[in-house]
Amino acid sequence: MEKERILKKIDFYKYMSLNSLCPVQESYYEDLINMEEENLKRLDTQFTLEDLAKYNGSRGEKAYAAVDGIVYDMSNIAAWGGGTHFGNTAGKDLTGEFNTCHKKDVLVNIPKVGTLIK
Amino acid sequence: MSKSIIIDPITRISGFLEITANLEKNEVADVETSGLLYRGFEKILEKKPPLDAVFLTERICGICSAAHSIASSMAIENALEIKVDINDMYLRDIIHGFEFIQNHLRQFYLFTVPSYVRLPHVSPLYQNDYTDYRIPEKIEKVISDNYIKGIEMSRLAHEGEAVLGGKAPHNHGVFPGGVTTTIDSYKISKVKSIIKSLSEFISNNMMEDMDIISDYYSDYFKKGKSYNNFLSFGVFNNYNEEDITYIKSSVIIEGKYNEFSKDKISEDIRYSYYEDGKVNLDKENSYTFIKAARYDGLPMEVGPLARLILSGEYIMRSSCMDRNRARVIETEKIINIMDKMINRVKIMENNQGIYNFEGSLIGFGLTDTTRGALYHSIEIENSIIKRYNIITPTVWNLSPKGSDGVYGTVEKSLMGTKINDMKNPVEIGRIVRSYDPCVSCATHVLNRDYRACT
Amino acid sequence: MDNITDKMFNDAKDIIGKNNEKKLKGIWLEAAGCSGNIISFLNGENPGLMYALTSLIDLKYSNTLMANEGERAYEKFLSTLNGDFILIVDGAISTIEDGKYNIIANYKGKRITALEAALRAGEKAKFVMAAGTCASFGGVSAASPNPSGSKSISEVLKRSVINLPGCPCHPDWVIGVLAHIISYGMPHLDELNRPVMFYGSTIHDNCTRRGYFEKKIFAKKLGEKGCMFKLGCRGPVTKADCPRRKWNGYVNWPIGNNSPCIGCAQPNFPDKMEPFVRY
Repeated sequence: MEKERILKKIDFYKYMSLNSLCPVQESYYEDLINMEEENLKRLDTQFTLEDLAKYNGSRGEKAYAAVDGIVYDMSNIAAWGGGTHFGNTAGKDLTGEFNTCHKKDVLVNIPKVGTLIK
Repeated sequence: MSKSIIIDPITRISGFLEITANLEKNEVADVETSGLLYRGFEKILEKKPPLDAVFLTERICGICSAAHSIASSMAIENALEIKVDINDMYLRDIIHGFEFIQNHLRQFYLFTVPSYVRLPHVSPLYQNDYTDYRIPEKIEKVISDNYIKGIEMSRLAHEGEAVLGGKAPHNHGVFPGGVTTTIDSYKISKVKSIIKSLSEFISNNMMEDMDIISDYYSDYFKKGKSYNNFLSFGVFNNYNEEDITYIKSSVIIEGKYNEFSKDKISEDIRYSYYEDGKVNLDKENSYTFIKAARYDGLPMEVGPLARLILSGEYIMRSSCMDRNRARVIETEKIINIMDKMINRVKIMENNQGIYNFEGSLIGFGLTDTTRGALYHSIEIENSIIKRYNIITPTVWNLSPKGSDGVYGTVEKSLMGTKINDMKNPVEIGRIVRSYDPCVSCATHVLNRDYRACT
Repeated sequence: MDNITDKMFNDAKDIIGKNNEKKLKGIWLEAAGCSGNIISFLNGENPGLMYALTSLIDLKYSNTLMANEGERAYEKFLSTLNGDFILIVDGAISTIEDGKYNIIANYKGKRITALEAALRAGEKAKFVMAAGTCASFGGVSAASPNPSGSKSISEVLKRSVINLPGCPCHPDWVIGVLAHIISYGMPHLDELNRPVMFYGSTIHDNCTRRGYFEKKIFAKKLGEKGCMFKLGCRGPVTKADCPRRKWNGYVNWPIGNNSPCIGCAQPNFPDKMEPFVRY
């Protein structure tokens, strides 16, 4: 499902890039295409809850969090200082907490690194 | 004939204090000191990450917050067996020293002086209700001008604290391991310059003003006498050199020196609003949120007077005016210690580490601070705080009666006081303020068992 | 040209005229807090305390400063309620057991809670300022499990409040708002009722270590010069002007002292800002 959404986005960005009016605009869309293609590749990586727990943002580890089955990389998101965000710690499935606070569009540009499996 | 006086608020202190005094023939025959604010810090600290305690305990009190950050850091260092480097120790003690100076300047000029001296006609500093003003107008003007200088000086002391501690109150400099500051020549030079300004003001203006007040109100050397029990956990005491040492942990019981042991510290809640680990305002005979801290079962006095007596620099005599004088004498002593200490500071990296909290850990942080002996103890399990106990100096001084019915230190010092004018019981306020109460600090909850963590 | 000069001249006359307005009466009500905000207020420099008391506010009641004590002190509080005044609340309002965990006075044999005093003064005040995070949002007094039932002054009073969070509140913010009020009235506030002139951007926006953040040079422990993002710095989610204004005579600030921002001016301080330090 998520893969299809990403593929649609890539198509749109490619269209926008082709029809760019200047090199700056073109480079902007090329960056977005690269980002989404990276996401696409990494979506194949699977995480169990146990795998995820390792990436809790502490002692040099990356900070991953899962929302609705997709695992996101929060390591460079400014609001996630020290791998924590408003009482939530990375390395967990935070779907419930996310939905009480944010709308889906907040996650649009956060790197995706895999999917959560049972 | 019995009459009752209730004074609430006791203004010009930190926090909320009510004094209820029953008089017989114009003398205080029975008294209750009631600390009337409760926030429950010990409960708030449960289940929190240990390092957060350094910042959270700072918020117990705005005028003595560095003291809490120091005691908290000491408790964590004790639990993790971390030794603080000498250079960082100097910096930490200088931060503490600036807080002492700030507090004593404010306690003297803002809190104490208005009880004895008429201030400028600026609201709310001016009042004409006290009838007992004895200082001639010309001299009063000098003290009142110094009051205004004192405001600027105490502000400067906090600026000194911020140079090394980030900001004041609630500094970001003291931390387990030592300090986080990067010391450099400019900061050292700025600190020296601030110390110089403060030292001149303290030795000249502040001492002089204290002498004037002592002269005109000398009857207060006979009022406010309490027990001959004095306690100190030691402060500026990590060094071998005498010129930067103030006092080590020591205790005098009934006029005699005793060996100090922290195991003799206990807390009693017989007359406090606590029952079964919860607050109970309707508990029979209870009248305060402050617990009764006891050493070897006895009430103790803590603070500048206790420290100077224990270090042998003041005669063993407790009274209202002695306490006020001791505080000013101590201010001069501490600024001199700081002056010597800053010259020993070297340009070196700070020594911060990365701290693990595995297993079960217990740590104690005992230090004297502006108002007296401060005690923090921390129990850590599974990397979170299992239990945190705090006994602040004001818990010692402003304690209620113990289970044995023995009055707390301030209560004892009010007993037998003759009130000259029933409509203006100035004696009570003057005696209470000589202790520099801080009720924001003093009111917590007792943990499930009635002993201090051992 | 003439129209413009006329207009400017009239505007200037207006502003100068307004500045000659007499300072408003004020009550500084300390509640369930540490009194850190009034200590911070005493740290004001140019303008400092004496300027504030002589030119900005006619402070009638303050537990920390006032010469009166006992009933006479509380009477000053009561008499200020008749007329225009500014109420500054310092500390959260404890509401458990009708506020009996926080008694501020005993008047004619009856104990007055901070809750009662805040309600009485709050409904009559021309302006209400919440000095510090405890008064603005609950702060440390309301930290879980909130044993004293502490609430922000906005939750207790049903009226507009100017929130000045910060732990403590910087003296410049209090003095700045007082000066603005007496000359121009209500300052421009954001959606959380904080004056935009002080709380308009995040610490992260103006941080002196932003370059390190962008280049991903992160400190691994306190006391280092790198960006403290990986240690849990709350600069990105906290709005205040600390990096520019700094503290205590503008000499230093937490991040400048190699210690991370703990979000002390954030509405969710301290519960959702913890852990403050995480390696």
